[in-house]
Amino acid sequence: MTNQLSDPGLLDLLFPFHFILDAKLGYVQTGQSLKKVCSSLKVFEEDFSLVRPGLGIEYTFESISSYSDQVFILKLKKSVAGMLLKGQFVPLVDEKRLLFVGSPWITNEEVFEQTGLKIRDFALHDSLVDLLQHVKVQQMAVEDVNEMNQMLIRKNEELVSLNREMREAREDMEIKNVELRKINIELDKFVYSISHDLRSPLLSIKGILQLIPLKEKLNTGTVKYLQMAEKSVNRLDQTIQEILDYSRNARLDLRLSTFSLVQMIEGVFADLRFANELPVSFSLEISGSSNIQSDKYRMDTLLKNIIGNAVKYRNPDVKVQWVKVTVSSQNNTHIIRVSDNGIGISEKNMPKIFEMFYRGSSIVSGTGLGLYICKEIIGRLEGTIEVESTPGKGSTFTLVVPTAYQK
Amino acid sequence: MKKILIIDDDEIFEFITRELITEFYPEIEVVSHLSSTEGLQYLKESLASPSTKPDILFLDIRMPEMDGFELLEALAQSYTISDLSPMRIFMLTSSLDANDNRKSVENPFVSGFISKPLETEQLKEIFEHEKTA
Repeated sequence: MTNQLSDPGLLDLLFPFHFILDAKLGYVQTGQSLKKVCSSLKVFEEDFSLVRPGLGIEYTFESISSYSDQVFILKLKKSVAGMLLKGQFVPLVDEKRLLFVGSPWITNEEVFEQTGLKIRDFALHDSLVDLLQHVKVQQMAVEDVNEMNQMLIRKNEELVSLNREMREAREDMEIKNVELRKINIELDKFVYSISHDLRSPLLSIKGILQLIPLKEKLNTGTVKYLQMAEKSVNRLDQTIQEILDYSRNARLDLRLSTFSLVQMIEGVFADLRFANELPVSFSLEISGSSNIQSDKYRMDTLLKNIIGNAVKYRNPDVKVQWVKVTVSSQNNTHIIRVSDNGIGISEKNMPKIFEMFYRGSSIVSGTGLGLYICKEIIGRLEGTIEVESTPGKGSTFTLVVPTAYQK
Repeated sequence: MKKILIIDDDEIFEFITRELITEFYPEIEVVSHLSSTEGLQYLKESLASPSTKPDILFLDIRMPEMDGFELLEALAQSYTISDLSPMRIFMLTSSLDANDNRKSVENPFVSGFISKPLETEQLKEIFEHEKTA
């Protein structure tokens, strides 16, 4: 038994804070955990003070042995903050040795923490182990909660900053929007001023060209020159108007009002009849109401272009040139079909007709903007435009536009 | 019909309009003003008596000093439609601004909106309408 107890490995395992003193109270061996707390144990009397049993006990082998029925509390003077050990001295009489077995006596959590001791420094039977494990679990739980809290705080901060960024971005957008609106209005005024200033002198030339044959007696050559000059003036004026149409459609919001498509189409017919000397037969068929809620200016531009094209690309080889428009309504849409017996569009050119600056014929004057503008306008009106054509026979343009818009 | 008034700051358009009228209606007196303020002053004076009141006013829209609509506003402060009757007012402009068109249609003083230059057909339409009315 004595031999077994002297086995330092076994003692360390069971009592990691043990130590063995010889007859002169010199250290024979010390437990691993005790060494960890205080590595420089040399003289028992100087290392430990005896808190209990207290008065009467002396630092001698015999005196300590006589208190073997008492609980000892030893204060480790050199350890951090004076750690206490609680245990008992077992006199090994045959070998003249004193065995101390015990473990730290924890009265102050902070002091214990300063020692740096962990669960593994204690023997498993030590009641402190349970307590430490319990504390550790709690600490881990607290750490988890803390970590979670930290994470939540971080996430919250991220959200707050994201929110702020979004608010700033929105405010920025609102400012930009106001600026853009202002620029749009200014640009609109600018475009009108420019178009007015470009047109004014042009139209005065047109007026004078019309006055000349009224006021002067002219030979046929001069009349022809004047007609050619007037044609050029009209072409330039049309270009200015188309550029204005394009710019207007691209920038301005829809301006809705209710109007009659029949009236509008008849107006377009009248203008075209007036402008073209060649007799083209116009016809209009309506089924249902022709009243529509739409953008009057855009619709007018659209119809002028499509019906105008039907006249422009008429077939000079046919006897009776006609343009036929039908209007019908169906499922909250109006369908406007513009047919002609004109020259038609070849399959090769079909994909290009809505392109910007594409011109169907070098004989017919134009900017190549007309159908491009129509396509853009149809886009703004949320409608569709389709073409069917047979070269030499004629073309049909089908426009489908909403009868009204939901606000 | 005896008298036509033209208020237009562009002297070429003023000339074209006047020439066209005198070509077809040489008996009619054509008075014109290049300044809108002077034109308004003249109009007010001529409204005083039926014998001097113009039958038709051709009014330009974009003019310095006072534009066509401002001139009509100034007129509306002292005159009603019946004061002006039977004089008719036509806006004559090279503006493509749809607002100008709309404002013309909405203005109770205005009988029509004409894109410059005034053409023979339009002139005859306006003047014949006057005769049959």
